[in-house]
This record gives sequence, structure tokens and C-alpha cells, in this order.
Amino acid sequence: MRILAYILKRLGYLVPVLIGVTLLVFFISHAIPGDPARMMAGQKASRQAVENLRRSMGLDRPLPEQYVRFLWGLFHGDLGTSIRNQRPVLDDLADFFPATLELTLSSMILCIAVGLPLGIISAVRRNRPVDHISRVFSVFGVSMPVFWLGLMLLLLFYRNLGWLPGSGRLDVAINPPPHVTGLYLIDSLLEGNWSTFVNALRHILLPSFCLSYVYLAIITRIVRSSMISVMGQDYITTARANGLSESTVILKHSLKNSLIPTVTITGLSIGELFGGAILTETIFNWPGMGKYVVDSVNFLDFPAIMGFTLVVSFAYVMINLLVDVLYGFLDPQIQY
Amino acid sequence: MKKKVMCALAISLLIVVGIAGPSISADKDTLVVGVASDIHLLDPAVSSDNLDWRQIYPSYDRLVKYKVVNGEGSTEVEPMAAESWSVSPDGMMWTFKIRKGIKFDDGTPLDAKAVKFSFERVLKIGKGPADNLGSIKSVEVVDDHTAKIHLKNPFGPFLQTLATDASCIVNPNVMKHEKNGDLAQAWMAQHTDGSGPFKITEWSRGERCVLEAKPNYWGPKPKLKKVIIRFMRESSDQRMALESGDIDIAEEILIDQMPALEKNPDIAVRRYPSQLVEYVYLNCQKPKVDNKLVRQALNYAVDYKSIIDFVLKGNGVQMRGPIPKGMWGHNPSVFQYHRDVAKAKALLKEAGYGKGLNLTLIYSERRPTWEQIATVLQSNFADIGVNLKLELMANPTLRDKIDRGDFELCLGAWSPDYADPSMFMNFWFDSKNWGLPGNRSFYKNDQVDALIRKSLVLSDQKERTDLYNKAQDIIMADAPYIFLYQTQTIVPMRKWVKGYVYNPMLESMYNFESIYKE
Repeated sequence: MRILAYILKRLGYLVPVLIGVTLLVFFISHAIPGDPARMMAGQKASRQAVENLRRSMGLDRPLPEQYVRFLWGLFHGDLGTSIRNQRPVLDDLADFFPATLELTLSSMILCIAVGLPLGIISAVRRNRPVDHISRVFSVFGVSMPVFWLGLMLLLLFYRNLGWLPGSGRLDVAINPPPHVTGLYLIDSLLEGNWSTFVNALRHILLPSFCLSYVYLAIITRIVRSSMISVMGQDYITTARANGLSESTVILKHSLKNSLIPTVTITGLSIGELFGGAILTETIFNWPGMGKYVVDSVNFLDFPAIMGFTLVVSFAYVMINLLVDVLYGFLDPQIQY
Repeated sequence: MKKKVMCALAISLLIVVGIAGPSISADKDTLVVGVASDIHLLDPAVSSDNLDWRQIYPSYDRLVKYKVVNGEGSTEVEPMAAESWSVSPDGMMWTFKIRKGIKFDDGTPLDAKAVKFSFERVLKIGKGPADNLGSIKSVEVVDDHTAKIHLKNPFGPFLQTLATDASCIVNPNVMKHEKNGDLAQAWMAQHTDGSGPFKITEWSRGERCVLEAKPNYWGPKPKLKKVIIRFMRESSDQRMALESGDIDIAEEILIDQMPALEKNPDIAVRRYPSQLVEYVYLNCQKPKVDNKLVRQALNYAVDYKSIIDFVLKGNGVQMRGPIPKGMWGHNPSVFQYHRDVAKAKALLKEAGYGKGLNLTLIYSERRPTWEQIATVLQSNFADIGVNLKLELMANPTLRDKIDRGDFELCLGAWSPDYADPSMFMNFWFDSKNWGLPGNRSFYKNDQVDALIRKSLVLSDQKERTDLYNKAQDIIMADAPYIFLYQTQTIVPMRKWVKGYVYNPMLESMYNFESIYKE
């Protein structure tokens, strides 16, 4: 029950946080000199055409009034209309969000599915060849710039070997699966279309590896070091002395106790993955929010910038809440 | 433990290899074009962007279209939805006979009412495209197949403007999608409703847009069944996709990658003289730059050939006068500046800046060439004792500064919307157009104003050219701009793509209706 109260309290905090975020982003983005109506009207447009546009978009009003209008809309579930596309921002985000979510989730799964075991093996086989290999692998990961890694992956797997496709979510000749969740991997399975699923999987492999590599490397290193410190504890020796099998000792006694820092890092990583997707999406031409927001900034599309920021900060806050709740399950000593 | 790990590794490797393989390419009936950015919106009355027009244009018919002569796009127009037309002697009234039997998808006929509706809609909405139709006073429906267009004043290039994207004929029934008196703008931003040879059947944002040919199109039947526009931002992505045959045409490959592409036997790198020019605005209202001698000196300081060789890898020619080659009215004998350091220094001295002066050039990263041009200019100007400070800024900021005239020197690019020299002469030099609309050097010369304004209302090409020639002589001496070069449009495509016609008026827009694959 206490935990429920805790969650409610934290959700209550969400409101001031988000209002703060909108306030900051709104006034910072409006401080950029430039006129979105000008951008929209085209570069040769007459004064009259620009003026008409400005009025029809409400950009001729004083800034505080524009902000209050924005907040008012927000409380009614309306994020405003994108200047560039003349379309509700919510619809735009709904179009672009699934692609980013799919990429982020698959990267997260990759991070955990590869990073966790790799860290455990490294810790258990400390200073053996496996450990060295995994350490080299993770040093590469933390030190390689994403855009370079992306281009190298493309060069190798797409251009030279021709094993995997280089851009987009599906091959050109394949139609997207019917929209259910917007995640092609899931939608194609729901449709029962195996070949589309395989195609979507082929497309997501390179970008999600590219995006996850840094965090995968970090997770590997964190798991390794916290495992090593936990395995030096007395209770591990006791567990071994009690005759428990090695796998029980490792997976149940040491792993669970070394998970707290891992969960913290993983939680933070998801937030970072959302934001970091911008570069990866650009390189692999992934039609997600990252590309959308870059275009919006170049166009001074204020409503779109606000919408993106809100979604990302909301996701960030929620993930952190989830992490805090998870602590309690991992370590019963933590009280709320 | 170790065995399990090895097992897991082996399985995941198998999965990767199992699903690896070549991608599925499009078939012969489908053309795939790789382009750099997504479409914004599809309303011909709102969009001012060639990249939107690429999709809008083939979805609609217009009264007239550009002629194709010997497989090359020309700037002359010929009938499309209009069978024939006539103009009153004073040039104030145009009468169009509309072809019978053209229908929109819902069966509504394309008639005089549709023409009236479309043009009036553009003008009522009053956004960017309205400027192209700005000379229209009213459209009168005489009968189903006759429309009379009354102009506010005689306008030489009127017929040319009817071939632009703003003049697309829209199904009047789109009004049933109207909300809050928006003239169906919200709906039209995302849909097309025209009688053109193609129809947009899918638009997955950020991913692709699919156009399908209409089997019952009234004109010549398109040979392609489907066109897929794929949005791929990275030049290197496009190059790899073109080389592997995933896309047929690549729109945005950086110029320094062309030599490598040309070595590929499956790829044709086609070059066309374009009307896109790059130039420098010299703000005539700012101290120092307001001195004609200084502006002339700057014009003499530029090493035009090096810029073309270095920045464009030779894919361009130095401009001669403001009207580019290929546009009627181009004057091959008008004065052209060339690099002459001694003369430039003498002019500066005469202007009282013998000890040199400091100037600032602003630019953005909108065009990949600008950074390089700016550096060359800096070193060229240094040779005559002008210390040029470079200021890079975001594009919206740059536009804002240009519009307010808050700069000394600024880099710019321009391409005409319709085939008429007024796109250069009147936009660039008329003092009514100060700021972004066209006169970006804030130039004012009453004589020039009179000449170009007079030329705009005449319809005789010879008379108009004479007036423009007179104006050009004055302009070259006043030197309000530095005319750098006229570019080439480079379109790399698979060799199996046939029937592609480039038209300098339709930059980034394709003649999908006559392209086919072999």
C-alpha cells in the first residue's frame, strides 16, 4: 500500500516538472531569431502572404499569450498544429513515435540480453580470455562515436557483404503491415506475415545494434564490476561452503545483489536511448521522432519541438519512477 | 556454463546469417526515387516547396504544360487541360477553351467551374503560391468549357504562371472536407484530389510516399504502374542504395561523390544546365557597401573560375548578367566582371578605402556549397585589402536578417518559379521588393525601376528584352550583387531508367508520366 502512495506522490511531482519543461523550452526556442511564418511561406513570398500566415498561426500574438494558449491546449490534450506540416502535432508524434519506440525497445533488449550475460561471464571468468575479449569489446563500445560506427556497419554489412539492408524499416517492395501498435515487428506477427517480420527484423538489426552498443558496453562493465565486488563478500563464501551449486551462487546470490547499480544505469540508458536515437535514425534513415525533431528545429516549428520535448521528458520521468519502484523489489531493505 | 554460452552465441549467429541476404527490389513497373527529406504537405494553395511539388504536380492537371522538344524540357507552354486560348488586344482578358471529358476520381468533370474554384481558392488562402497568381482579378465561367480570366493589369508571363504548381486544378468537391472555414486546407495538407496521371495512395511519414498511375487517365497512359519516393537523408545512404539497385534515381548525392559513381557501369550521371544561381547580396543601404566603387571592387576581387572549379568541381558556369543562360532575355554580350586585383585595389583607393576595410559576410548551411564559397571569398578579398569576417548562422535567423536588411554581405541562391526573365529582373531589382521577396541587396535605382516595370506589363518578347537589356547595363555598373555562377543539376540514375526529361522550371519534379524502366 505504501508503494502505491509513493507512486501517486511521484506522479503528482510530474505536473510541475512538465510545466517547468514547457516553460523552459517554450521561451528558449522562441529566443532563436527567425520567423516560422517566413520559413513556411517560401523564400520569395510577399509581405502580405507572410502576414496572412503569421495571423492564421497565431504568431502575431504576444509571447505570454501564446504560452498560455499552448498550456490551455495541453490541458485539453491538444499539442497544437505543426507549422511545417499544418497538421496536429499529436498526429505527427503518433506517426513517428512507434518507429522510435521500436528502435529503443529493441536496443534495450539487446543491451540486456547481451550486456548482462557478458558482464556475468566476465566477472566469473575474471582475467581469462573470455573476460579480455569482452572488455575489449566494451571499451570499443564506449569509445566509438555513433555516427562512425553506423557508417562502418553500413559499409560492411550493407555495401560489402550485402547481408543486411541499409536503411528504412522495410524493403521498398514490401508494404507495411496493418497498423495495430505501429511496431512493425509486432504488427507483422499479429498479421501472421512471417516474411514481413523477417524483413523488419533484418532492417532493425544494424540500427539497434548501433544505438545500443554504447549502453551495452556500459552495462557489461557495470555488471562485471559490481558482480566482482559482490562475489568477494562473505555471504558468497558461506553459500559456497553450504554446498550450493555454482550456478545458484552466481545467478541467485551474487547477480540479484549486484543488480541495483545495473537497474539504475539501465533506466538512465532508456532515457538516453530515446534522445540518442536522433543520430542513429539519421544514419539509418529510420523514420522516427529523432528525424522529425531535427527537421522541426531547422524550421523553427515551435509546436513540434514542444511536443517532442514533452514526450521525451514524460518518458524519462516515468522510467525513473519505474526504476525507483524496482529497487524495492530487488532490495527489501529499501523503504518508501 | 561455458557450453550454454557457446550454444547461445551459435544460435544467435545462426539467426543473423539465416535472415541475411539481398533485399527485395522493386519490379520493372515501379520506379523508386531516393530523396533527402520528407514531404511537408500536399496543398497546392499552401506549399511553396519544390519537394512537395514533386508529389503534388503529377497528381493534378493544369491548363497548360511545358513542351518537350527533342527529349528536352523547354520553357514554352502547350495545351493541357485547356485545348486553346486567346488573349484580348489589351492583354487584360484571357479566354480558355477547356478540353471535354476530363474527370476527377469521383466522376466530377474538370470544367470552367473547377478552374474558377481552384484559382480563387489559392487567392483567398493568400499564402505563398498566391503570389504566382497575383495578377488575376477574377475568373468568369462563360459556359462549362469556357473560362475567362480577367487580369488586374497586363502581365507578360501570365501564361507561364499557369504551368506552375500553384495553378493545379482541384476538384471543387474538396470543400466537403472544409472545417471552420479553412477552405479544406487541413484535409488538402494530407490528400490530393486531382485529375492528373498519378494518385497518392500511401504516405508513411519519414519513410516513403507511393504514387499509383491511374489506368483511365485521359492523356497518354503512364508506362509506370507505381512510383515510390523514399526519404533517405544521408547522401552516402542514397549512394549505396543506388549502387545496389534499391533505388533507381538518387536526388541528393553530394558533388564530390560523383566521380566515383560515374565509374559504375550501371549508373548514368546525367547533367543538365539549371537555372539555379548562387550569388552574393551586397547591401546597398549599409555604410561602406553603399558606395558603388566598393561594390565594383568586390566584384573585381572574386576569382570566379576557382570557385567553380573548387566548389562545384567544374559543374557550373560564371553568370553573365542577372538572367541565366537558357532563359530568354539572357544577354550574351552584357558586361561581365573578372578577377582583376589591381583594378579592385584602385577602385577601393578611389572610394577612400586605400588602407583596406572590414566587412562581414553572413551565411547558413542551407546549401552545402556556402561554407566553401565563404572561405574562397575571404581569401579573395584579403588580396585587395578587405578583411572579411564570416558569420555562420541558422537558416531561419539568416532569413530574418536578410528580410530586415541587417547584414553587409550575404550568400544566396535563387531559382525561377516560372519561365520568365522577370523572375530575375523584377524580383531582384525592383525597389518594391526589398528584403526576402527578391531585392535582397536593398538596391534602388529609379531608372531601373521604370525600365523593368514597363517590361513586365508588355507582352512582346522583343520589346521586353530591349528594356531589360538597358536595365542590365545600369545594373552591372551599379553592382548590387556579385553574380557567381549558374549551376548544373546532376541527377544520377540507374541506366535502365529511360524517358527522363529535365526541365529547369521543374527542379526536383519528375515527368513520371513518361519515364519507364528497361
